[in-house]
Order: sequence, then C-alpha cells, then structure tokens
Amino acid sequence: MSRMGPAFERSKLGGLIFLFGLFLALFPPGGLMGPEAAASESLRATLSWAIPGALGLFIAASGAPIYYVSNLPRLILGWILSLYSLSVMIVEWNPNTGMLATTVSSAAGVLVTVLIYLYSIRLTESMGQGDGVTKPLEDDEIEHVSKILLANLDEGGLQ
Amino acid sequence: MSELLTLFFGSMALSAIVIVIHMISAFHPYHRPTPTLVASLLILSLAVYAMSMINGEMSYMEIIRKSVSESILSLLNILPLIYISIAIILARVSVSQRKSGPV
Repeated sequence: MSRMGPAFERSKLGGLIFLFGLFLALFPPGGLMGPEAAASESLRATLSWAIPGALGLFIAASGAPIYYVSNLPRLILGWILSLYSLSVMIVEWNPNTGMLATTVSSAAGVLVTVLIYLYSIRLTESMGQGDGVTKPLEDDEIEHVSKILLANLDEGGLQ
Repeated sequence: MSELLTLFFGSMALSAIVIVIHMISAFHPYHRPTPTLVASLLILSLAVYAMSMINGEMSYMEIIRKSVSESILSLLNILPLIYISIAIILARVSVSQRKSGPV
C-alpha cells in the first residue's frame, strides 16, 4: 500500500508501543473518568480470555495441516487453549439488545475512517512515479552481471 | 440519538489516533505518510469538532477522553463475535482432509 518496498530500516517502535499499551491496560493510572474506568475494567476482562485465545489460535494455526500434514501436539494444545478461552468468554460476555445500537454506531465510525484511510492510500499510490525510468546498465555492470549469471548457469550444468 | 452520534464520532477519533500511532510505529525510508497522516488528522479534528457541537459544555480533552472510552467499550462487545468467527474458520482448516478420487 503506501509503505511498500524493501523496508529493512522499518521503525522498531511497534513492539514498544504494544507493550506500553498492554502495561497501561493491565495497570491503569489513577484519576480516570467514569467511562475511562469502565473501559479499562472491560479491557482487562476481555484480555483475560483474549490473550489465551489469541495464543491458542496461533498455536492451532501453526499445527494445522499444510499439504495435508498436521502437527498433532500443537493442534491439540492450541485447541485446548482456544476452548478454555471460549468458555471464559461465554461466562463473561453478556450481550443484550441495548448494546446493539451502540455497537453498530461505533463500528460504523471505524468503517468510515478505514474507508477514508484506504482512499488516502490509493491517492498516495497514484501520486508521483517514484524514480522514473531506470537507467540502463553501465558496461562494467553488464560485465559483472554476466559473470554472475554464467557462473550460476555453469554450476547448474546448463552450459 | 446524541449518545449514538457521540459513539460514531468517538470511534472515528479512536480509529484516526490508532492509524497515526500505526504510521509512527511502522515508519521506514520508503514511506510516504503525508496524505494518510493529513487524512487521519483531518478526521480526528472533524470528529472532535462534531462532538463539541453535541457536548457543548465539555472541554475538547474531556470530549475526546469520554467518547473514545465509550467507543472502546462498545467495540469490545464485537470482539467475541470476531473471535468465534476466526475459531470456526480455523476449526474447518484443522479438520481438512485430502479429497479422494481422481484429480
């Protein structure tokens, strides 16, 4: 999308920000407003099943069949964790009709923002043509590339 | 109705903040973040402005804190459904077997 390319120098802040957010979720600071305290409490209740659930699904996915060969111990361990998480979730989740409208309203807000974001990415991609037409190879570069190709063809028995 | 609108704009503000944090976290030299960053900040500003029209007596910071918290609360309600959906897809993958018969 808007950040394609061989990004070996990608920012390493993601992991730190994730850990910082997780720390704040588990140990919220004092002085929270009413809705903030409720959100923090709900987040902690959600994490109690979401962390083992995510871990279980990840392990189960890693043990799932690839070309019809599965890793049974991983699959079983993953599903044990996932089923435990499902049982905790069912106990804690109390859906009611009142929350339907609020949830739909919030989801609509997220959807609108994501659509605008995707459109802005499309706009970014349509802007500019990067570095333009690539220059042809110099003579010494042609010689260097030819040597590499010929050496590889010789090794593969394709003389 | 004002509660639903607050949640709608609060979710917009929350998503815009998440996108900005994501762009900072994943930045690299080939990134062209200006249009997406401007779009996200514009969405955030418009959402806060709309919420200030609905909740006139509160300051901007109070509006952001209240509406984003309520949005998080209501979005967490969807999480079990998403989890169940992924679990069903993974269950189907886990039991998939080679089809017998000619290719």
